[in-house]
Amino acid sequence: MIIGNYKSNYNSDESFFGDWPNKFAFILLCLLLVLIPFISSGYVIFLFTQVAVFIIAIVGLNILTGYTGLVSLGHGALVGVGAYATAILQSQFNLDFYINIPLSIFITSLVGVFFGLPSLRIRGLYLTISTLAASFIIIFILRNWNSLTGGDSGLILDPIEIFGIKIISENNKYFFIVPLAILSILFAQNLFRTRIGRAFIAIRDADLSAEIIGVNIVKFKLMAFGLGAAYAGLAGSLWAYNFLAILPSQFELHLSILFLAALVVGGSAQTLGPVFGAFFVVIIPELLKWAMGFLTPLNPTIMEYTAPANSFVYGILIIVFMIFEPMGIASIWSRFWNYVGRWPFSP
Amino acid sequence: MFDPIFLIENSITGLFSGGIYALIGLGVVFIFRATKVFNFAHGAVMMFGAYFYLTFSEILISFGSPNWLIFLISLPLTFTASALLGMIIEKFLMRPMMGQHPFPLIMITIGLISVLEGAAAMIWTPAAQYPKPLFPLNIDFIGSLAINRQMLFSFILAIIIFLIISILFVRSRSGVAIRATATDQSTAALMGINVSGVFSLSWIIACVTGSLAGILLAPLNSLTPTLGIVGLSVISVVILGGLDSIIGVLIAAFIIGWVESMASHFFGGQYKEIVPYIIVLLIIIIKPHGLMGTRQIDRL
Amino acid sequence: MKKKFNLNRRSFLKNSAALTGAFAFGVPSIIRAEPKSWVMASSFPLTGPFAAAGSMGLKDYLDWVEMTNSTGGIAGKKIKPVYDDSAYVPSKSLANFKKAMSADDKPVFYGGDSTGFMKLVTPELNRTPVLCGGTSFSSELADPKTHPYQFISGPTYNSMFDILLQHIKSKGGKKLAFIYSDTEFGKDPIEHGVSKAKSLGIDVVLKEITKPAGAEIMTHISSLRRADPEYAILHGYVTGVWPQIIGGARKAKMSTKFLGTFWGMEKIIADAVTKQSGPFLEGYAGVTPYRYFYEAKEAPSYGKFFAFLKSKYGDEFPGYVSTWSVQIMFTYEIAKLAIEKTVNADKEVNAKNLVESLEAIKNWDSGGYMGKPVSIENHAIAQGRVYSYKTSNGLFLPISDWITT
Repeated sequence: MIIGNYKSNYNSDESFFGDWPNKFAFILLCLLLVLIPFISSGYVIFLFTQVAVFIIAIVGLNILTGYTGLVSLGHGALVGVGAYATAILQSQFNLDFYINIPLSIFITSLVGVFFGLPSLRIRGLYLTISTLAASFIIIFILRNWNSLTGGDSGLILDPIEIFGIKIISENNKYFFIVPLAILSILFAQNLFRTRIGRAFIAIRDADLSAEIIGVNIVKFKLMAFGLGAAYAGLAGSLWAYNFLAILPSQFELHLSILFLAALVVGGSAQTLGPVFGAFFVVIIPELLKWAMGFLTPLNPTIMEYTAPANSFVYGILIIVFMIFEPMGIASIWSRFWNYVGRWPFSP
Repeated sequence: MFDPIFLIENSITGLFSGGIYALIGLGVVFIFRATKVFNFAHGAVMMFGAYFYLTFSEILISFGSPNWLIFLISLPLTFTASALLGMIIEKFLMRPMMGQHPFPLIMITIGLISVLEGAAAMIWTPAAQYPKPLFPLNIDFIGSLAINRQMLFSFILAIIIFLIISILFVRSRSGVAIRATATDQSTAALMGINVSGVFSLSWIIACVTGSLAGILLAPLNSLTPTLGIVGLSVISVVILGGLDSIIGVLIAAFIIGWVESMASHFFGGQYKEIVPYIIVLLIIIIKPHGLMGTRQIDRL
Repeated sequence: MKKKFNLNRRSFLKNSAALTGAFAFGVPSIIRAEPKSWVMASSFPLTGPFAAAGSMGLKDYLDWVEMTNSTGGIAGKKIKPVYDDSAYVPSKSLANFKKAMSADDKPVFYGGDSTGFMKLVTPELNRTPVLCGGTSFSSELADPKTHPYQFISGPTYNSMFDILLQHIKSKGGKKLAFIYSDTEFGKDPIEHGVSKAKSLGIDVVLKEITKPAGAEIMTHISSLRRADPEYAILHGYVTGVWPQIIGGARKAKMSTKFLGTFWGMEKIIADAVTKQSGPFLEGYAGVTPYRYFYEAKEAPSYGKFFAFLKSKYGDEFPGYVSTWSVQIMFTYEIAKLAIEKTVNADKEVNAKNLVESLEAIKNWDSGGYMGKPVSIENHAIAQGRVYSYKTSNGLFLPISDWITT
């Protein structure tokens, strides 16, 4: 039972995890994540790894869209830039992953800043449209610069090797990627305890007032683009190492929309939002496939409905959450724990 | 090898597609002017309209009706169904969110793309279909210049409808109401204009013109649930035109149609798809209010 | 049927329990028994741009499995088909592949549904090898060194172009155009085709890229009219675009002869187009590695399948099976043969041995699927025949002998 706010100084108010139940839950979760590969099948581990890659990408989108209020329809394409940067750096320059990943992140954030430049003059809707254009242009370049990107055939890359261990089995990939996802979440969580993060929020809530109190809007907007894209770059890099083969069609507009859907459903501008969102968008197709699996004995081609149903459900979820629960699952989650924490005095 | 007739032929093709772009762009501008919502799902609405037409015309064909009867019955039915779709979207998705931050509204229209595409694939299957064209494919020759009669007639029809709607927008009572609402919602409401009626009306007009564009486009491009992608590229028309200017859309549509076709002429077919987006990016950087748009865009 | 139901539920319980994380403790690992059946897994494009071909293919494939199982299966064991929808998205096919490979009953064969998937799966196959075939004829896959576990159940697109070019050469054609879709599939043989045409003394006057579906025809007709070729090869299409281009060219009073490749030569499409827009496909020709289903007289395999379908569906069976389905069935026939050869040689049925048996297929009588005896070289079968469409009876009829390259 937590019936009051026991924080007695600013340090504890700004502390990383908040109160002890959070810390405890975090440790428990980490333990659980270590256990998962030992108790589940390869496919489930693969799904978890995919969720981890999505989480990293969506955390980046959260910084840009959730916290800074710049809606991006080009995030999926930026993940593509990261993935291609990694694959190209490896195939052309044979770089090891510990140089390759940071370089890919850097390249992607440069591309992100470049497409963020229109945001210096305009905002809102126009920005969304310019990121939409960016998405199409990036994919077009990936598809047509054959000598560098392999065109529509994509690229194949070699697995990471750490101390002679090849990161190629599902388990190894899991243990390589999931910790990075956790670190990404923690880094973003920490960001919003700093001046930079708060400047982002100030820009979202009231850009003019932010400027008046001394926030350099141009600098921080570009920084938000750079950071968001850097996350996309890391996600893309890990995506490439996870699949070991990439195609341009994987990063088209539908991926950007998927990320936005995940953010909205998970809960934007909240630490746990991307986590819930990523789980959600990965689980829904599995649930649908499973449901269709029950019906296949009746009609073997009922699966024809899975993919459209998928897209239909994503769309419905975006709309329903926007209208009825704009803060997403994360907000339901925190309300639930508030209720539990304050029981029996909860309203 | 420079071939002037080839260039003219492609220019004409480009201008013809511009006519249909204008009709698509018109819907986006209407909704934006009246409600300040940018409808990313307009292409998807257009695609749905084309499927309505497919359904009605197939039913009539199965009864063995003559051509004129097919058009006479299925077109009004399609427009009614599209109008209903517009009313439903406006009433249940847009109205609850009116007056809020633009983010939720943008997200809802993006969500709507997925909903409509998914629904269309479930109802009509995702396979490409060819609804009965309003005008059959026929190529005429003027000297050695080939002109696609199907595109020519589609172009003429699109432009006629565009002009009728534009004139109504300026002259009719409802048009004045829409413009008044666009200028100042609260004052318009105080003056006794039924603002929610205006919202509804603008969605209906957008969906009906959109469905007509879909009907014209489907035989040229084949009808699949992803026909809406064409609608996305029409964003460039709307942005170049200035987002809230109807005459701007008409001019921009011709420019984009022509530039697309020139890109395809000089560089190859695949460049056609990317041209609109390059133009969008350039306009946003150089001249965000477009050719004829109002200069009151948020800027910092 | 009941069995499949249980399997789905069981695997779901396992997956979903682990997915939700917290409840994953104590899921018992299912004890592995000696496989009682051959699991053949595959992805089908049941949605997306090739849904028509995919769902038709799946129905016929399931009937083929039923027929094969009713006559004893493969080497005494029944086939258990496992399939998922891919929407023609390569990464979805890859997820399906991983799911199939991590199931308790490991597949002996995986059927992929796109060239993209065949590329994506290559690194994965090195880790979890399995014999892998599918709907792609991509020339890049016909290389045992880089793609050791993948095979093509027909000629590569390059070989198809070779056959067409030889046909054009034999007819004395000099000016040729390539019209192809802006996809991996479309672009695959173009480079090879250009150099091959050059070596045969045929002039490629136009290379026109179109959208894979919903292309705006007029622009392409304009280019085609400028180039004015005697022959044009259409490649990279399945259900759409190719009929529209031919129709447009005829309306523009062009006499260019159009040629296609396997996926763009389906009778169902040609019939529908003829019915809707008139007989302009007359004389459209193209290369296909398989006999059409109505040539059952020369193909005992087709005859057997025909009889099976007739007894199962009665009058509902229209008497025709699409070339798309034939392609899928033939892929499985090859996998079946490889398994039988491996079992007969008393070797363990694993990917490595299956590939060995596959490579050892020489002069196999395919029961009429293909005209000449089938030999697998470089994991592909380089033979095909040119057929031409007649609008009067709606049949593609052979206009050449079986050509090997």
